[in-house]
Amino acid sequence: MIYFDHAATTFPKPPSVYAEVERCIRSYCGNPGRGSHTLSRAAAEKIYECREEAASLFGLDAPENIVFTVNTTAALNMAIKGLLQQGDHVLISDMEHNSVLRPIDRLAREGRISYDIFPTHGGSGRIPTAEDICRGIGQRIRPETRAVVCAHASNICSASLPIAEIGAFCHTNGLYLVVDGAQSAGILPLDMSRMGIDVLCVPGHKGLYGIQGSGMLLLSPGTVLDTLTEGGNGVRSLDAAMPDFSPERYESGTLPTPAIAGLCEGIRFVKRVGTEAIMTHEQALFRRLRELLTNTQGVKVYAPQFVGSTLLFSVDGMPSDAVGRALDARGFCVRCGFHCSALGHRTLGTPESGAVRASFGYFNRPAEVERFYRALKEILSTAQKADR
Amino acid sequence: MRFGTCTATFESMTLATKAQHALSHAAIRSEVVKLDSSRVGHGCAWGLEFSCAQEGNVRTILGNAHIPVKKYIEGSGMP
Repeated sequence: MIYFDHAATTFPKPPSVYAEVERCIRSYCGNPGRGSHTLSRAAAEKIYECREEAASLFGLDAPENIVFTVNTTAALNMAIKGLLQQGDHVLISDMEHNSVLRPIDRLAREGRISYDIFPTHGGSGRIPTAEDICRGIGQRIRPETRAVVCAHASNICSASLPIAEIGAFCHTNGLYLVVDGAQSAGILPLDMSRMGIDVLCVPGHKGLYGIQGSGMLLLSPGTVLDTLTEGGNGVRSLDAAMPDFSPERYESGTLPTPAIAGLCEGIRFVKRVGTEAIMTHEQALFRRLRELLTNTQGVKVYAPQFVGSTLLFSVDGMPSDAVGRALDARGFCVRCGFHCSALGHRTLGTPESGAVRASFGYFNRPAEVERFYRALKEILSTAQKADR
Repeated sequence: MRFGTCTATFESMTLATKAQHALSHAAIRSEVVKLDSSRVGHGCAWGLEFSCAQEGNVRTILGNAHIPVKKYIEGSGMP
């Protein structure tokens, strides 16, 4: 089996991740931050270690500003609903995942906020400049605009946004910048303080190689959100109100300690290998498949001008799910359809059945790309024979 | 030289652990403890026990690291 669905979740994980998850469950999985006994303290210590690892990876000085969530979507909901207030206006890009679009659209439909969409030119065939992107944002700013919420990297193709320039632009204009790092964390350089990111939302189970059930909300110093959930957290238990300090303000209920323990090792793996090495490796795989597919009749590659870890394509005359099923039957895991990104697919102009996404991870090898291509050629040939 | 145990109190276990790591980097031994609730008023709270002989160093290190200590108490914070 060859796995090209790392944009959904990376697989396999580094051996150290599996080992730590099992060690946690078997050896020290008390309820962190609650009791005073040995297992509770051991779990809390592991969770703090993970906060330290994440803070240093993403350019944050304060580990307590790392808030654990179950995934990126949960973190984005906390950021969006905790930051925006009645009457606010917000800007999102035309490549956003539904995890950004849907919470914002819901607030808008309830009459609480309004929003506009700025262009990234992903479907234009050229790579936009940072000036292009910032001009598009600037043209849509209103007096009540409070924030820009956007993905660092697309989840359907290799397009990415110039976050450092957008961050500088936002701060010049008094706007918060909330970044969806679902596809870039662990792969692209992502430094909150250097890039001017106020809130960063990342998954644990994708480019950071943790297991599912782990995600993070990272807050820049001084950023305070309203809470989305309230409950017990092991501090000020006699107070009815939630505390005003991070991370406990945002972490109600028992944390998923085994998932966080695995994430800690996943982040250490990424640091050992280095994000630059990971990015270079995945981009080499992308370039090779792009070269093969752009020269194949009957195959269309979307946004080929960008280089990254994710390649989107469609096959003439075949619905994307039919391509996916045929690939699955030959031992290849890809994702087909619309990838929870109506905006992105609309921007790229994919067919009505969506498209096929092949996304690469650190454990993929160049030979797998060649095998994938041979399998796809076989599928094309079979489909052409059936048409005759 | 003062002997015995002193305790720095914090709002959360996260901050207590952060403080412990800061002291550990300076080779000062300490232990995170859950505080006697009757001494802190709001219910669950956390402390860091260390040798009173190190109190000056502890205050300096935690101050330099901008780790907010609620108060320093002489003796164990535990029940």
